[in-house]
Amino acid sequence: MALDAGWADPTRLYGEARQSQLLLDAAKESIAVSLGVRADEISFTPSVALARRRAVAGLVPTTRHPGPVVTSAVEHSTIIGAAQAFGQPMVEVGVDSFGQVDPDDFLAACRPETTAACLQVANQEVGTLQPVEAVSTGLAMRGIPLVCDASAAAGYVDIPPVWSVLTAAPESFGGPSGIGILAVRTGVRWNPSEFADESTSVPLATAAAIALEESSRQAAQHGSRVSELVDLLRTRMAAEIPDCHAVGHPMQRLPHVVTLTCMYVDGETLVRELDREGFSVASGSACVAEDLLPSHVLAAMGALTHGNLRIGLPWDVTRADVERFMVVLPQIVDEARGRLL
Amino acid sequence: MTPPEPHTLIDERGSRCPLPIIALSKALGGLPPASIVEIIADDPAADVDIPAWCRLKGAHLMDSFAASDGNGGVHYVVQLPG
Repeated sequence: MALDAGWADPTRLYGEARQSQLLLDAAKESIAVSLGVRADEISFTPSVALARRRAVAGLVPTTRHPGPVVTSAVEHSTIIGAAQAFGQPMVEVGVDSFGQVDPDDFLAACRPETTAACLQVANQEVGTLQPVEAVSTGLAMRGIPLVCDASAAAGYVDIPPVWSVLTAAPESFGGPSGIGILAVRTGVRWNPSEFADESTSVPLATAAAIALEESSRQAAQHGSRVSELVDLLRTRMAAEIPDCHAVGHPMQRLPHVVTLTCMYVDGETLVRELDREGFSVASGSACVAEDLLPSHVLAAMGALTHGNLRIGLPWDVTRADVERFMVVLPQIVDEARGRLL
Repeated sequence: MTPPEPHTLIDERGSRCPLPIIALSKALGGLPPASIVEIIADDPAADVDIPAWCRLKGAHLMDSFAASDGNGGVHYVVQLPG
């Protein structure tokens, strides 16, 4: 529908263009409702990475001698890169073995001259929720803007309305890739002129809005059921597979993400063998990364960086699917270890 | 810290994750409890994985230092669980 009706450049004035503008406005309205944002606070970027970069780069320092950007050690690498690029050496706040920041540690790192603080809503690799609400009051008192990367959380959990700048990732909640969502709270000192105007793809924006609405609806309907299946996977796999551990916070986590590490196997083998069995999973293991460097998230947690599996359960997952997975994974791990040990 | 003698030296330079950890695991299976194992590895992941393995297995990472023989890598001195 959006491709038929929304192909035109929404900034033009002819009829088709006005139609596009209406669709774009409708997409923004819908996303605003899903995220608890005002529609005029939303903009789209041509990628999620660009949304993250701009979320930091667009901020205008409020002090004459702006200080560093503070981030958690487990932010997405694009956020960390943008914080480094801001001109001052950035401050990275460490996490515990669940991958969670301590709010007091985080606030202690934020000085009056701090330009911005970046704390994700949930971690993309292990699903751990971060204490964004707990840090927000202290940040507000110090006048420090909070950049919340919600790219792993949007569509899966409610986003606490405590951020100054928010990013969300349609590709993570079942929407299209090639588009990112950036929301800037009214009143935040922001420099839109840093960025050239770009016309938004109305079909992608519409698809993103529909996907977010759908995922949020499914989360409300299936969230607790799927979360119980995550509990089952975490406990059963850690108990049944020797030297297998569930990674990330057992309770304060996204409802649909399970991360397991299996010692003495490489993640690449597990991903490939699971794929043959019809399970699509990801791995944060170094052997899967192009640069062969271990995941900075797992390293910051002190977790094993090999034999890592990140499983995102779809909303329509059934108990039977999970049971089958729990039969297949121990066999695959056992076979992979047999080849290496 | 100088590791007490005698101890086992394993050179895993050139092998990637998870092979250095597998070497440690084999040492755990084949050596008496509380033995000292010195492993040399040059996979950057080993720098995270060896301390993590020690924590998970109840082993003790006693020391780590850069190799001085000109072939790169890091020595990790591990005391196996007692």
